[in-house]
Amino acid sequence: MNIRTSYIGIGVAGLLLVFGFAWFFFFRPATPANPAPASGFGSVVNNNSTSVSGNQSAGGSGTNGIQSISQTQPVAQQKIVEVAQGPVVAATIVQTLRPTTTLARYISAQDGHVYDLPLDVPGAVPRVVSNTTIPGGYRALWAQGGSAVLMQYLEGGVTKTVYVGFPASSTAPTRVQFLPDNIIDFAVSPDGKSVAYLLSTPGGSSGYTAAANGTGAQKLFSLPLSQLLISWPSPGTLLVASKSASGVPGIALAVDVKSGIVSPLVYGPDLTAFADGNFSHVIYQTQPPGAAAPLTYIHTVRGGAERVLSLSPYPEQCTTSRSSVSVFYCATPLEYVGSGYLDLWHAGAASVADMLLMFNSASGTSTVLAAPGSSDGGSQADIFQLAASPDDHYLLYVTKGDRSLWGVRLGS
Amino acid sequence: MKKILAVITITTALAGFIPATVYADLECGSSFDNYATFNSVQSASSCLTNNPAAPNPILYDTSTNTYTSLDGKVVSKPTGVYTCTYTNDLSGGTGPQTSTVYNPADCPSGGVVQNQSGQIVNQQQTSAPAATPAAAPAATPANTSNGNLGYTPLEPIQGITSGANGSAPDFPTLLDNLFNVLITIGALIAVLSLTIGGVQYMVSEALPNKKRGLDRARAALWGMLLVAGAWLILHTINPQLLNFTLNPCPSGNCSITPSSGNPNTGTPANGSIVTLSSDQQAQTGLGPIDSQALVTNNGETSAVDQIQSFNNQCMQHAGVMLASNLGTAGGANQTVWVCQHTAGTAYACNTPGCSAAAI
Repeated sequence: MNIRTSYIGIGVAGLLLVFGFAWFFFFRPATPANPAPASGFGSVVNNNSTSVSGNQSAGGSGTNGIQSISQTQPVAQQKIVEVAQGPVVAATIVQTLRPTTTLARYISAQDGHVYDLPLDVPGAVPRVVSNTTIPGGYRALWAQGGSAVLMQYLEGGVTKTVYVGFPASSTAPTRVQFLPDNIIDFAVSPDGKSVAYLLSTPGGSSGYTAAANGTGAQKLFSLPLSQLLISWPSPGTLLVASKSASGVPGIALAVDVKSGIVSPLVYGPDLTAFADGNFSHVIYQTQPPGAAAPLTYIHTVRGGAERVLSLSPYPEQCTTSRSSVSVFYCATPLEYVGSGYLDLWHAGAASVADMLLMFNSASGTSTVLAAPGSSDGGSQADIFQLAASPDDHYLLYVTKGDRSLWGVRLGS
Repeated sequence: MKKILAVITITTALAGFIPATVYADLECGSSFDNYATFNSVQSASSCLTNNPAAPNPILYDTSTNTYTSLDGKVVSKPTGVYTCTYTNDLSGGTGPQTSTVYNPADCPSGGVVQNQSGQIVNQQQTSAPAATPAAAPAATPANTSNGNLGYTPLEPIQGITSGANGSAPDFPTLLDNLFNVLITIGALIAVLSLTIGGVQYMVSEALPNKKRGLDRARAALWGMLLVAGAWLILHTINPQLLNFTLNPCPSGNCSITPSSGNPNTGTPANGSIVTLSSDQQAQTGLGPIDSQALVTNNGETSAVDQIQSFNNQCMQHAGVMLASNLGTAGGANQTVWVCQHTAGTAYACNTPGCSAAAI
């Protein structure tokens, strides 16, 4: 082999090498990212880079949909970690003393089964609490300290509400009991032993109270309004508010649980309301005339003092603390959303990334706790169904869209 | 007796002057036309009340030598009534705004000033893409992207002439992409040269050729080291050194100065603090707010610490932090967080007649 032939061979080999490198760097298909390491928050889901798709922003805020954000911290150190992929109907946090464990208890929307997952226990796997199959559940509230649930689902155009009491031991049966059909809305008392619900009447709607399993129902009040929502923030008082609708006047009413006396609290266009744990403050949002976006106010029930709340949280995205009556947690959009956003949000037509905040109704102060998709962990999310742990060390939330369940470490 | 009379006379005379001297600080011109004949007034509100007889009142504060127009805006000494057409949103790109000014200098930067006859009096100097008023011919603004000099490539190459996500081409992006491509090509050539050198060393029998192959391989290794080292050293010192920019305010401190200044000096960076002009403050529709505002990019969560910090500062000043959007005429993708100091309009139902039946 003379020197000329060897140079030609080298040249061909070099060219092949160059083309190989060029292909490798420029035309190689992108490989999927490696899954995140185990979280230590529970071992159900480790993939914390899931993006929520199919969302639109609204309210003149541009066209940014929800995007996933890469993580910079190890998952075990992050504040926000995915607990279950979902779809999840609802979740709560249950604490057991022997042993001392904090459990995320959630309902799978696929079959209505209820699972427990210990939080911050590496290697933990979910345990089935109830295997009663109730497919298609879309709303649920927890009763009796998390040992029972009231769930609503649709069956042939009829709204069914069912009480499911979980067995206390492996040999005990699951208790299932149905409440009246076509309940408009329902709420569970703070002690979890009673339920209040609204039924439609020809002239409006009526409110009933009953034991958590629906027995012993008593009519408490009637109103000439049909589009109402009910909540039970404090033991002695119900909060009944008209459903929020853009441009429509709304009202929030207090209903005494014993006497059924109805007292108007606040009213205004686009009204949506929520009350703190001792019913000393009502947090409501309304659209002031001429304003570009709705504002959220704290209304002191005794005295009627008003205060604007920072960052305008939507009462729909709030939950009360279980250890302090004046503290509540909310998710609020990370961007300006404008008027009419709530209508679109309820309809699932608009969605923006939220951050989590803690408010104090007594002082009016607000604190940013975390933002899913930031360095706190998780991915950007439109949040609803917040739930706090009894000691306020954890928050759970369900994302709109894929209804996945996420946990937030709040610390001690 | 004469002394007593003198005292009474002086006292009476002084008493007659006291009302005039108490309110001597404020003077009011009922319109720009007679701004030169200002009369003393007892309060600002008595002057700045919009009535048909005084459609454009001007309040003159003699103590501070400032003129204030009907909308509470401090203006220069009035010289007439002009129409100012300008762009007034933080993203710097949407529809023009029109306002009345009493001095061409009060028109924000980039605005076009016309007198009552429609003649262009003066076009303010611009430092950002300005809106083009319909009545005035305007120069085509430079193609810009994020405050950087832009260009239009004759033949676009995805990922080189524009950003990876298809963002608008600009010169720094081109340099950034060229830097990456050249490093890749350099590394490829070094590997190729190393291969050639190695093969030459192996197949050559003559010592000079072997030495030449060895030298080539050694040079290739040095080259690879230099190529990698150039990036590594810069990245170690500061990763920002690898990001070329011609933006005059890359850190995002593009101040939007109050009324007399420039409304736009580029799109503020995510998490930056800007100063809103009085017009921009009014545009939020939130009543009295601080001129300092926080700007965040929609759809991004990276500025949450700045939101927390701004909220803390706002609470320390007994204010509430609210979101707003300036320039909502489509396409705006930034949120402005402002601090409001009033309780706002409450809708509490505290009156006896307020009940469900009232709705």
